[in-house]
Amino acid sequence: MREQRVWKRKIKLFFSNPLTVIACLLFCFIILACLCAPLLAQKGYNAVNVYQGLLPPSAEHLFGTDNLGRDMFSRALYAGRITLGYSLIATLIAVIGGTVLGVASGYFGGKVDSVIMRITEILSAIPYFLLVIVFEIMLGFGQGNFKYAMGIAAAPAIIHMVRAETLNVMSNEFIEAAKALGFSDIVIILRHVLNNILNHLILHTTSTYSDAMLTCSVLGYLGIGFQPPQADWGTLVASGYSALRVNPHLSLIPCGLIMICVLSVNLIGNGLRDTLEGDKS
Amino acid sequence: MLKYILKRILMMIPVILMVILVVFLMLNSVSYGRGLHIHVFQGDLLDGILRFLHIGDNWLGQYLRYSYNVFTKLDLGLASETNWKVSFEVSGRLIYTLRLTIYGLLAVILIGVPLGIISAIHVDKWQDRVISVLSLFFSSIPNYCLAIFLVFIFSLWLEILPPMGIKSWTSYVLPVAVISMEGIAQTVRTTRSIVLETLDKQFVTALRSKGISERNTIYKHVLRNSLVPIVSLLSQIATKVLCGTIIVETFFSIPGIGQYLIAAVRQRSYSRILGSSVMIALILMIIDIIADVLYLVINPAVRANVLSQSGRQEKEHA
Repeated sequence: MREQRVWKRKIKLFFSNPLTVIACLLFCFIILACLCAPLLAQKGYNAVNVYQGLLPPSAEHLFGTDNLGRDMFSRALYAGRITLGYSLIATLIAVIGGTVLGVASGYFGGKVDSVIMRITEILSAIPYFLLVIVFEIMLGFGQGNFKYAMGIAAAPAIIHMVRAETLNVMSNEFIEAAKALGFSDIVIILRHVLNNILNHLILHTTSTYSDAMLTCSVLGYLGIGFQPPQADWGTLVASGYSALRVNPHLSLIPCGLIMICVLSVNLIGNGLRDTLEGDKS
Repeated sequence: MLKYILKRILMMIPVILMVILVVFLMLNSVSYGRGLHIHVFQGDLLDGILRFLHIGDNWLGQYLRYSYNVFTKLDLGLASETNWKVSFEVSGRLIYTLRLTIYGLLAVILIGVPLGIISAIHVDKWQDRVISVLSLFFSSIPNYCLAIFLVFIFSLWLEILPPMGIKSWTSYVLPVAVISMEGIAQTVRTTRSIVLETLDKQFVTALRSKGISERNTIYKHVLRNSLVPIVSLLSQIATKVLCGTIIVETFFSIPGIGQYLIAAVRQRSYSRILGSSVMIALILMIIDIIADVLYLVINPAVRANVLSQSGRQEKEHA
């Protein structure tokens, strides 16, 4: 009963900020549009029609066409699937892997801790972007191995955070009590440790997700992410950039889409932070 | 002080070794000697080439030789495409990257900190609202999207700034604006919260109750006390700015290390990737040390602590 009331209040608090509501709606709208890409984009992202190249936006081609006459609206939707989906996979890898390793390192301490911490220290000596590139080279270029690269590269920061929070929780008396009562480690971790670091984890997940979207589109832009004919938003920006003077919409529209997505995820993160931290005090 | 700096520089060595090891192992797992076998080289010639490039050697031996060369001769390996030393190719490009990084950091400090202070002083008024919204907005824009918008406005529409290359000081305006934007947004937000925290302290209330003007309170007392946590942010922002140069150099065709790295990745030129990554990591560590020393210089409490600690350790050793 009480739990339900708390959640209701939290949800109410979350949706009391108009900016957060707008961000949620926008983001959901874009996600839905990308998920329904096969329905909305009848023309297909790869249908070439050179006679209709570089058209400005119109009713038939909502976002115009590119130099090969491909419908930019369909391309943007299919590209969105890749950018949003791959960033999500990278985030999940980073968050789940980071949580498991971080909790293990904080909870068990000793040798496990020192091995995990040495590895993360070495990895965090290299800048994030460089690490993504190097991992991508190791995993092989081409169709989307960079999602694992982004996930692995983002994990050290999360391991650090989770470990610090776990140590924080471990100093509480209820952990000692649970241990004294003979609960197994798994139960203590699942019921007490994870429950108490969940707030931080949620906040880090949103910021990791927006970072992953940025990195994904940057890789696409630099031409070291997705290879043609598949495209993500960064690739679309890059291919439209050469026609910036004549057809600015080709690069400005995908730019705007990336910006809207990252901005709304950041706003949702801000709203979540206000909700979760405001609730504590 | 000198001793502390020397100690930090010595501590860099194992970190560089580790960075080289990680990048080296990852690149090594791709086994790039394979391509040679399908070419026209055969027999003795192939063996000679493989031996000359140390392909097929034990990775540990390669790694040790490479690190030895880096530390003794500042040699970052041989670029197999041009047969030039990577350190030679990189050295000419270093100046552009350093310039961009320094200008970017200066822009972050000179714009970000004052804006943060303004927004903290006028908390919850329109100035604060505008600055907060703008900083959130600019922290969410990818570097190159901002670059495209700026090029569109200033180069194509107004035609006042060049869209690419380095010719005169005007060429630096757009790249620096792009790399510093994210840092500025972050600095504004942190400065705001730090100054707000300081304004809440009791000595500010005491100063105000003594009748010291608001201006004096803020400029002489609050700012000085807020400076310490702001400087501790510096190395974090420097990392962002330096990573920003990788993208911005590619975008604006500035011949720096970042552009070299991306070109190397596109060409799968492994020795170049290794060399330039080591170089970037090195620059980052040097900036880190400078930031730490600066932190010591402006904060007497930490200085006393750190210096006495290292002194005590030496006594214990003796």
